Formats: sequence, structure tokens, C-alpha cells
Amino acid sequence: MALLDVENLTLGFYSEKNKKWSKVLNDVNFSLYENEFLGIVGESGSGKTILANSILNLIPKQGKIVSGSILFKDRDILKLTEDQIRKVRGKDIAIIFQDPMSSLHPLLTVKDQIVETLQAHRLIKKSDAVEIAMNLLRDVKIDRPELVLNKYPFMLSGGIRQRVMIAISISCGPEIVIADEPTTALDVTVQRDILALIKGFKKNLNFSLMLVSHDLGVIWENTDRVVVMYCGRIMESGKTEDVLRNPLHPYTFGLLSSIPRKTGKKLEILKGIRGSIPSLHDFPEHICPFLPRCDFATEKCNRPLLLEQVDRDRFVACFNKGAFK
Amino acid sequence: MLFQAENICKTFYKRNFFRLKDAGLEALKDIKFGIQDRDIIGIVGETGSGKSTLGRIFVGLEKPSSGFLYHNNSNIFKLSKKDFREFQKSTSFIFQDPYSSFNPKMKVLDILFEPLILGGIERVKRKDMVDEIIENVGLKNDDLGKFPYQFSGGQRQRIAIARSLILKPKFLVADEPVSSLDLSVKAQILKLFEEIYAKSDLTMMIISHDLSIVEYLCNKSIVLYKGLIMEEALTDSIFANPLHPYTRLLIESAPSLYSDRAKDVKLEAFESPINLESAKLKLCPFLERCKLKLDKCRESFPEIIEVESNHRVRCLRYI
Ligand SMILES: Nc1ncnc2c1ncn2[C@@H]1O[C@H](COP(=O)(O)OP(=O)(O)OP(=O)(O)O)[C@@H](O)[C@H]1O
Ligand SMILES: Nc1ncnc2c1ncn2[C@@H]1O[C@H](COP(=O)(O)OP(=O)(O)O)[C@@H](O)[C@H]1O
Ligand code: SF4
Ligand code: SF4
Ligand SMILES: [Mg+2]
Ligand SMILES: [Mg+2]
Repeated sequence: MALLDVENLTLGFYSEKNKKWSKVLNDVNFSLYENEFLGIVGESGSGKTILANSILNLIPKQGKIVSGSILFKDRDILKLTEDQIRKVRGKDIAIIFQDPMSSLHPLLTVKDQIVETLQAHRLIKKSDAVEIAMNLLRDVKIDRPELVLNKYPFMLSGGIRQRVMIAISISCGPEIVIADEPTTALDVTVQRDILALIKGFKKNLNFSLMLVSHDLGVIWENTDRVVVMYCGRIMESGKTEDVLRNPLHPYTFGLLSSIPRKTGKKLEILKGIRGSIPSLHDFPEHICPFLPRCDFATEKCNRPLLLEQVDRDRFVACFNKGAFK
Repeated sequence: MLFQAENICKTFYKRNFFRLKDAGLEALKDIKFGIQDRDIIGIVGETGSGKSTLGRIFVGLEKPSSGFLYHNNSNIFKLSKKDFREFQKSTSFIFQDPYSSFNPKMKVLDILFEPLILGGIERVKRKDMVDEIIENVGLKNDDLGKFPYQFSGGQRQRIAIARSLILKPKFLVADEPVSSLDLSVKAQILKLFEEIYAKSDLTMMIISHDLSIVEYLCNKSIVLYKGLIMEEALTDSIFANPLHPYTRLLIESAPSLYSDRAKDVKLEAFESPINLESAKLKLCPFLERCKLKLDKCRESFPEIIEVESNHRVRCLRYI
């Protein structure tokens, strides 16, 4: 049984400048299962953040749900009232942003931020909350939490800040954690620690993770299943091993061939993809959106694209699946 | 040697309320290395390790606090005004953030004309030089009439590359030239760098926090940590046989599509909020994070030494 079901989700964005509606998410379908790590990968502007935020019903002013639902425990998140959603946010579903500075309160100490979150969702005394906060900081491997507890976010390094964010996100025992590029701004050595930390939780804390990243290496090492997005659509989804080792979509294939790879002694870039992702209001709508950049396009591709199931847990949106093989 | 850096140090001071100098932040310490004609030298390291500062010194945009930088055997910071200008003309720099380095009100044509005008190129030659460079970086003639905001990140980086190469410099410093770009576009720009190098007589310095970029483009590499050179060697030997514990950690940490997924990554709580002993006691700056430290690492500071031919390392394990 899926924990979360996103069904036919289409989200429109209105642009004042172009006087035009565009589909920033276009017929998105996927499920998140219990205790799994799901990757969302795609180039910048493909809609990853918008998708992650819609799951918490954080939809910007100019956006409008055109169709679809996000089912969580038999309820459609998109239909909850603001009061109902507030109870879900932070408690059942927690989110970790790319830049912890923007989600931590700049004028509150680490202690106050954690205590505030705890008290918002649980009936506990302040002194107990402080005790729990200390333990949470130990859980995210901050070896001397007392040195961090009374600091303000700006006084901490990026990595410690992100750990504090993670401590807050797991503080109420969420069922789903959404992590939007949690390590993109960090050095690789710090990134490795943060990811090892999150991975370590999988064994003890029972939650599902949606990990948004543009780094295929991060996705490969940390997820069970993956969704590949382009121009607001799912191009391909399935088990991480299947999708990244045996891609069926020319876009996935192109992304994989853009990464320098050892052939013999030398690193080589095999093929890559020409051009770049269009901006939102130029997303092709009635043809395959990847057509302008695709080397395997045929006349067939000049019609609306559909995501098709090709195997158990394997979906692909392409009229010439695996044409590059 | 085209360039020879001798004991370069750079300290940045903040002025406090009483206009007294504080202790200063040592961005670079005792930097010593050479660059040969046609080298592509890679500088890797974490945020704040001093990469950009080093790059700026090599094109004369920043003056070292002490030490010398020789270019064809003359110290560039002792050149006459006229010679220094000649030196700067023969070098070029691509900035970390391509967008903020453009004047948003200038069209691409004007962006490309600007260095030609400043460089005193005759009016009649200018358009031909523009045509040649935009062809080389893969831009179209129509693009010349557009403004920077009308381009994608990758195209802007092409414009930045065009601008930096239009005067046919001999030496180019590219600071994180692809770090803000998408995967597919990154691949395109890396290939463009290769093509340009093959077609020209350029010598380059590529600054990146991403090891794979340096491994891909550079024949020599330098690993910086807290302003110090930790390891310097031919790129092939650094990646085949990394000697410094920090270099090893960097290589191990980089996520890879080809790693063993089953492998459990061990967590190290090395990002300690505590004041570092190494800084107070003038010891190896990597001490607190080093898994391979020895007793003697708490006693003396490691000097950089040549461990194998053309392979230098700053680590007491090799002394
Ligand atoms: N003009 C300046 N005044 C004060 N400190 C500076 C200045 N320029 C750089 N620094 C400091 O010097 C150190 C090295 O800076 P530099 O920008 O060269 O590092 P970097 O390795 O390129 O980092 P990044 O990858 O973030 O760009 C940093 O701690 C930085 O904050
Ligand atoms: N608040 C917003 N207003 C207008 N357009 C937006 C907004 N947020 C995102 N977009 C556009 O929506 C598309 C998808 O954005 P996003 O979800 O942020 O992508 P990603 O996270 O993959 O980088 C992009 O074209 C982006 O420019
Ligand atoms: S549908 Fe056609 S254009 Fe689109 S990815 Fe497949 S082959 Fe390429
Ligand atoms: S000198 Fe000692 S502490 Fe420093 S890197 Fe070498 S072994 Fe580690
Ligand atoms: Mg995003
Ligand atoms: Mg820099």
C-alpha cells in the first residue's frame, strides 16, 4: 500500500507578463511507499521544488490546481483546510529545504526553534522539550549539543545548520520527510555526512523520504526508486537500479551520458544533450516536451505525451522507448 | 615556467570600531608552485579554502600580502604601469557567477565590444573579431542583439567565455565555470573548454570544488585546504594515487553513479563546533578531521615535500 499517492496532478501558473497560463506540473502520477527513499531528479526548472511543496499544499499565489489529487491516509491534501494542513505539516510530513537559513528563524536560538516545533505538535512541558532537543541534536551527531543549543543560526556552519534543520524535521516523528536539495549548498565532505546521517535514520525511524536532487550520484547512492522529471512532467520512473542502469527514456539516457565517465584511464563525456531546458512559459504542451532536444525523435512524437506503464513499477513517457539502444 | 609563485600569502583584515587591525584572516599561506606553458592546472578545495583568491592573484586583480608571482621571470607586482597593463591584456578571468558579471543594460554585442574598445583594437577589426569568437563558443548572430536576461545559464556562460577570450589572451583563469549549470549544459561547456584549448595556445587555471571537473579538464592539480597547498601533482597521479588524507577524503566523499550502493557510509562527526586546537597551536589544519593522524601530528607543523617525482604532499606521514 502506498503511503502517498499523487494522481494526475496538474498545476497551472499564471504569468502577468505573458498574460498566459502554463502547466508547471503536467499530469504527474507517482506513489511513495512505506519506509522507502524516493528520488526526484531533473534539471533546474523541471518542477521538482514545486512538486515537493505541493505535497504540503504550499502553492504560490499565481498557481492553481487544474486537476488531480494528493492522497495521504485516505485524505486529499489539496482539499484540507488551512487549519487541517497545519497539523499535517511538520508533524506527519516534514520538509528540509536547500537553504536552512531561509527556513530557520534568524532571531531564535536553536533551542527555541526546536522547542517551538515540539510544543506546537505535542503537549509537553518546556523543560522536557529542552531535554528532547538535546537528544535530537545528539541524534544528528552534534557531539556537544550544549555548545549549539544557545546559538543563533547565523553563528553556525552550513553543515551544522542543516543538521539542526534535520533535527527539527524528525522531532515529531514524521511519516514522510521531503528533502529538497538538502546538500546542494554544502561541500562534498559535509554532504557525505548529512546523507549518511539521513540514511542511518532509515533503520531506526520509520519514515519515507522524498529526496530532491539534480545529482545522479546522490540519487544512485541514496534512493530505492526514482522519478525523472522534465518540463513539469514525469519522463520515467521505477527502481533506481533499473532507471539508472537501464534507462528507457532518451532524456534519462542523455543525462547519464552527460556525466564524465572513466573509459580506460581517461574521463570522457560520451554524448550529452544539446540545447537547454526552456523556461516555464515555453514548455511544449501538445508534443513531447523533450522533442526539441531529442536525437531519437520521429513524426510520432508530434502528439501529446502519455506516461505508460511498461513493467511492474516502471513507467516511461516516450513514443520511441529505448530507441538509443 | 610561464608562472612561478613563491611563498604567496594573503591576509584579509577587517577594520573594527577603533580602526585597529584585527588578527586577520589568512586566506592563502605559503603558496608555491609553477605553471608551464599550455598547462591546464586545476585548483580544488572546499568553500573558503582560498581558490578564488588565488585565481584573482594570478591575473593581477588582487595583490598578495607577501611573496612573489613571477610571469616569464618578472614579478608582476613590480612591473611598470605600462608593462602591468600588457600583462593584464594577456590574461583573462571568468567569474564564478556569470550573470552578475554582466551589465544587464548592455546587449551581447556591446558586452563583446567593451574589451575590444578598452584593449585599443581598431574599429574596423572589431566586428570580425566578434564574429569569430561567437562562432567559436557556439552562439548565433541573432544573439548579438539580445540582453543577458534573455539567455539561459549555459548561454550566458558562453557569452562570458566569449568575452574573456575575444582578445586572445595567453592565460585564462576560470572560477567555478560550470558549477551553476545543469548537468547537460555542464557537459556542453566542458566540451567547449576542450575545443577552445585545442584550437588556441591557451594556458588555463580551472578552479572548482568538483573533483570530476578537474579530473576531466586538467593535466595538473592542486588541492587547497584552509589556504595551504596539501597536495600537488599530475592529475593522473592524484586520482590514481592520492597521498594526502584530505585528498583521499575528498575523493571518497564525491557521490558517484558507479559506486557500490550496498556499501554503508560511516558517519564521522568531524564538523565540530568547538574551537580548533590546530589553529591555536599552529599544527596541521586537517588534524581534527584526519583519520590517519599520528602522535607526531600534535607536535609539529607539516611542511610540503616532494614525495615522488612531481608529487608534493603536506603531511607528516611522509616525513
Ligand atoms: N575581500 C575579502 N575580504 C575579507 N575576506 C575575504 C575577502 N575575499 C575572500 N575572503 C575570505 O578568504 C577566504 C578564501 O576566500 P575565497 O573566496 O578565495 O575562497 P573559495 O575557496 O574560492 O570559496 P568559494 O568556493 O565559496 O568561492 C574565505 O574565508 C573568504 O571569506
Ligand atoms: N513562484 C514562482 N513564480 C513563477 N514561476 C515559478 C515560481 N517558482 C517556480 N517557477 C517556475 O516553475 C518552473 C519549475 O520550478 P521549480 O519547481 O522551482 O524547479 P526546480 O526545483 O526543478 O528547479 C520553472 O520554470 C520556474 O521558473
Ligand atoms: S517521445 Fe520522441 S521526442 Fe520525446 S523523448 Fe521519446 S523519442 Fe524523443
Ligand atoms: S599531518 Fe598528520 S594530521 Fe595532518 S594530514 Fe598528515 S597525518 Fe593527518
Ligand atoms: Mg529547486
Ligand atoms: Mg570561490
